[in-house]
Amino acid sequence: MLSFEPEILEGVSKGLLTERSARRLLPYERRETFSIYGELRLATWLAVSLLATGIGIFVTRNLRQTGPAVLITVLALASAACYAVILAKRHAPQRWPSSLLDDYILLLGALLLSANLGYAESQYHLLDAFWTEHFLLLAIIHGVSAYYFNSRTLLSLSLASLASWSGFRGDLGVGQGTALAGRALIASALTVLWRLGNRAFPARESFNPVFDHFIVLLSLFGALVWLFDPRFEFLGLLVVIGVSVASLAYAFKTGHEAFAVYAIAALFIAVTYELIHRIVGGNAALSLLALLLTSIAAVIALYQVHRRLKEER
Amino acid sequence: MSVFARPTMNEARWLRFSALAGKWKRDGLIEADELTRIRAAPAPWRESSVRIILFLLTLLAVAALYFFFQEIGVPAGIVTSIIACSAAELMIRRGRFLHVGPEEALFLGGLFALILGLPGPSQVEGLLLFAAASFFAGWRVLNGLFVVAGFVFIAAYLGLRLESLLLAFLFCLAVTVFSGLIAKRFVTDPWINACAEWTVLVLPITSFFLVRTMENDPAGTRFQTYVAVLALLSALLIGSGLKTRARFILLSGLLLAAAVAIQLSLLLDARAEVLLIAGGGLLLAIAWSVTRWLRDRVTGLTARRVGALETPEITPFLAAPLLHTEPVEEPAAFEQKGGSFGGAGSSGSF
Repeated sequence: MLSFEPEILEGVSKGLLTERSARRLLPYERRETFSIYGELRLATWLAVSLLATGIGIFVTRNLRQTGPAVLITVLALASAACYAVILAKRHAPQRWPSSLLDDYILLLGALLLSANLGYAESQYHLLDAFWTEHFLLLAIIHGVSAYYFNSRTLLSLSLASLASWSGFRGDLGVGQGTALAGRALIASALTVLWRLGNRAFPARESFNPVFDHFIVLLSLFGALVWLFDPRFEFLGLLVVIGVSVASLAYAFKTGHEAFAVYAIAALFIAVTYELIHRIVGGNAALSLLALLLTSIAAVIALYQVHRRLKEER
Repeated sequence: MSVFARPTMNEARWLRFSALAGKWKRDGLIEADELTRIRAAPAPWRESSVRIILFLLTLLAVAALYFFFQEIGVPAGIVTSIIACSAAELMIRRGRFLHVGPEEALFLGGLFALILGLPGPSQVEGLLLFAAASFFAGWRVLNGLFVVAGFVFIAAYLGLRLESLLLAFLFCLAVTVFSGLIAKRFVTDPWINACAEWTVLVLPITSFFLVRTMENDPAGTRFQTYVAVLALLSALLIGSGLKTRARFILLSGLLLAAAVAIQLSLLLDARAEVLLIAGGGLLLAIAWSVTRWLRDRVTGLTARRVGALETPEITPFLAAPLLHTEPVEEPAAFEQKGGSFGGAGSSGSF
């Protein structure tokens, strides 16, 4: 185990750290305080994932034996119980104090609700030809819940449902790529609108980074899929460059390095692809040389951007 | 300067301390201006927060270089190795790179390219060469994970060459125990600490996969004995991790316990969904119980988020140890810089 107690004390003596901060840090460095908060969160997330997966498989395998009505009722009750626990904690915090499990219990409830709604739709065809609309319903429910419970986890689930509704999770068959890219870009545009609408909720400003990551990743994914389609190659390249430049600018504006990484990774893929397919052709040696050069360029670009961001911080 | 330019232990510690300051700021343990002051202090070596991405991109470049030379008929191994290792040395010496990413990928990739380019048929002994390359690269660029990779190569060699699962298994256990003894003590060198921690984390789970791969009869007594030993080891690691408050030992024990639990659950011959639901329910119950048990604790083992522990009740308790370990240099600095009354960040007339 490493302890940075000497450096902390040296930092105080040199005026880098205040005495107050040193008091906060030293118990951790001396292992007088040992928090297993992270481990418990991980365990809870894993437990919820196992439960949701297990229930999903159970639902699929037991359709005939139990019948849809029983399953839907059981899942609805389980989901409602999860929401009820969190609501009770929210309304009577003295009696039921909040804990680190809350966010994951909420997630479990939301996942059960998603599974249940999808299952009910597949059994009863309530929306018939408009069955994909149930994704929009889920996006709205999870979105409202996210705002009510102030949960970024639920917001991510809502955005994923919105992407599904816009058809992002369409079939990946031959010839579907272009449509998939278009739908990813539509989902990204919808997320932009939602992010703009979020300005009306100053208390939910912490949601903005979630929106930003979704917007950039969906846009870059869609643009790269276009790039790989010969009919839309030029348009795809333009969108990759445009989104990457915007993402880089955003990284410099906010100091969030992840957006610079997204931009440089997308540009690296796009430029390498264009070099190998357009310029070099089928020559293996030249293709490897192109890959070598673009990799080196990406390393240098990322390192320089990282240094600049660090200096600006 | 020595033949191999390396940071002194104090430099390596300061670099780690500086990197940790960012995490402390995020946890609310220090203020933004303190982080700025720490980062403004001159750093003799450079490191990077995008280390993994830079490492992977550089490794891709080394692979492209190797295959490019192979394609044009140049001795790929030796030439790639010379170029990559020279570039890594240049980065370390001139650029003062330490844990930036590219220098690590160049050194490891260069040595691996040299081994891959050796003439003759592939032999199991090559694993020992990879182990030696990993150890050397790990030592050169101060990367603990490379050292662990070296141990994994040796374990694989013992298993494959001598066809002895027992020997490979015992090797993993012995190295784990030895590293655990280092990891549970306070050590001053960040690299030795990293080697010990990563070894404790990776080797037990490696031994589990060795058993799964090499022992063909999962219902046999021999297999069960290995799993029982691993279960015992996981309990020891969890206990030791909690007692000594060494996170890597605790994590290693938990990881191994999860692997053993999955292995044991397969013996139950139950359906996958039942196992998943039961496992998830059990894990949730354990997490809930531990959270409840530790709910009110603010010192010692606690379930509270780091940084959320500064309460009026605890502050005096935390203040006491600091007073006993006052810095050796400039003990009167606070009076000179502070306010006319108060203290601990609440000085009056500051």
